Amino acid sequence: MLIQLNKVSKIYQMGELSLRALDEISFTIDSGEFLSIVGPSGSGKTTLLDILGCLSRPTSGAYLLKGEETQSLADPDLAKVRNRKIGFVFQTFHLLGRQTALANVTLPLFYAGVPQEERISRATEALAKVGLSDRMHHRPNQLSGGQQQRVAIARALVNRPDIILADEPTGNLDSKSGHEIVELLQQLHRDGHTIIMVTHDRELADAAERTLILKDGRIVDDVKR
Amino acid sequence: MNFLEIFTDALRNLSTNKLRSGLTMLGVIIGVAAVIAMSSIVEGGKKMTVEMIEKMGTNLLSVRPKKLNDEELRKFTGRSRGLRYGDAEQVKAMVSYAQEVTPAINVSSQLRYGDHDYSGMVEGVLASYQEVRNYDVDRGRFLSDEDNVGFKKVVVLGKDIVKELFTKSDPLGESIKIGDQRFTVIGILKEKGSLHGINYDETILVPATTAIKYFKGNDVIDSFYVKVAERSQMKRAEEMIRSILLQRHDGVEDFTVRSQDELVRNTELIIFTFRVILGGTAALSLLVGGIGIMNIMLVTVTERTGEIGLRKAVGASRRAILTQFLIESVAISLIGALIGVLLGGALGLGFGWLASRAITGWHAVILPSAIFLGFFFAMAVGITFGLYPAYKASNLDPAEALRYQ
Repeated sequence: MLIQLNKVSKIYQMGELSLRALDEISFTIDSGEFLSIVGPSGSGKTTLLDILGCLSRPTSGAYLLKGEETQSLADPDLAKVRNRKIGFVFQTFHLLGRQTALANVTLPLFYAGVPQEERISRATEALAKVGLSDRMHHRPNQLSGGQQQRVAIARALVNRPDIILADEPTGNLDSKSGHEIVELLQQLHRDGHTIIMVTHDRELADAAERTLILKDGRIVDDVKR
Repeated sequence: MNFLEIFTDALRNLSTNKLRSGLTMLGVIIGVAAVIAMSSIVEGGKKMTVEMIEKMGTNLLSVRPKKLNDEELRKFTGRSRGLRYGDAEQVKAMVSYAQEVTPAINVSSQLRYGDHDYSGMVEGVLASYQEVRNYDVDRGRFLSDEDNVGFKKVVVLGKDIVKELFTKSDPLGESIKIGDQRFTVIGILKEKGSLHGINYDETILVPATTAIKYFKGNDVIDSFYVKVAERSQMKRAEEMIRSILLQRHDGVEDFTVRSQDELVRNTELIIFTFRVILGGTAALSLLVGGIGIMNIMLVTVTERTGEIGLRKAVGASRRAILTQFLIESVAISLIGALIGVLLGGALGLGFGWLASRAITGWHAVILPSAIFLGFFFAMAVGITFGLYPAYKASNLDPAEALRYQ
């Protein structure tokens, strides 16, 4: 069991109003799974992704990653978890615009304290995996949307994380690039990576082998294919 | 965490918007440049003044006659008789602190050599004048006691007089005319420079007795100088001289007693005032510069909210984000300090060069301590004013930051 959520709730307090984004969610994910999370706006899927990615702490409940409780970790340790165990892919790519693709991919390694030379070799390797060896020294504004997302995926992979979290990875892409990205994720899944993808697109969700359907902060269905 | 790498990244981030970075630095640049330039000018002035004062002789009291105003003239009608040779002798006898007392008799004269002439002030002095007034002989010799005893017609000249009268030829041993008397040049003084408007290289010295015999005809002197053995005794010596002279002058204060010490203290006061103004300006400038840095860094943090979220998502701790942005602030102030040092140094040296053309004895001085202080305070400003924005950046919620529009 790679991931375990036990009665995780996230409540946002806005003055007198409290918003229950997640309501006592519990589920597990095994290593090597390709999971998609779908639901309408406000279903809490983004919040769930934030918690899975340790970007946000649960208000109550426990989130165990590789058997380790994460909700009580102090900031430096949490940062380490994000660095070593999790790889993010975002809808808006979030690449550093002033740096090359190669430099972007090395970012997690920098925070991991990896020396410069090793950073470059590992980043080169990661970019090769996503098929961008010939674009290593290009800047994001010299790359297409699909290529930028592939750089982001390479960055997510470079520190050999336990899970890859993708938040609407094809949201900003045309359908052709979008398909390419989905295929890449499926390839990575076949290579053994654990992938969790949040999307509002049912078609995209079906590319995964398991889908969690959320509504009003609760799981209403858990579909395995 | 490799500081060099973070610093290089900081520089890269700053260079993306050179105009903004440049304007942000302005406060620091001006503050540091002001410190360097002004301290250079102040030190140059101080150095020159202190050197000159010391050249003129330390522990020196000078006694001169004072012109009475109308009220005093009415009160003391007929009682003022001027400074006399006997006054100097009496002071020498009665004031134990006085190591040496030397009078001077001033006579305005016309000097002539061949077809060169010069109108100036001839001073009749004793041999002790050399030591008391710190004159050095470049060639030949100074006046001696024998010259005075023998009413000898010998003269010692300053460099500028030599230039005026003797263009090319060697003045030593030559005979020049002073008034309608022939004098032999026995010595040439070393260069001394100017102080408070008096050019000491235009000095003409003859024996006091000779001056009295051939030019004056009475025992009225124009000044006398007292060399006090120790600095600490100057005040007491001054008081004693005043009381002796008052007594001898029938209660009329028709003289002044001035000390070199006063000059030094005045200079020090002026220097101190300048330093305070300098310090105040620099502090103000740096404060403004610091606020500018904080302002811009706050804007930068807001602009880069997404980036901060991303960095946290890939594993940057709060400390890492804080460090990154703090170093960017410090980079701004350090580069500003560097430019400020170069600018201030150029201004200070430039001014010093110009001043040395106009005023002899002025050197351009750059204080290493000013440079060090400039850098130190610039860094302090960078850290202090960069801290709050960096802290804000580090505390951003990663989830919110990533979705910031």
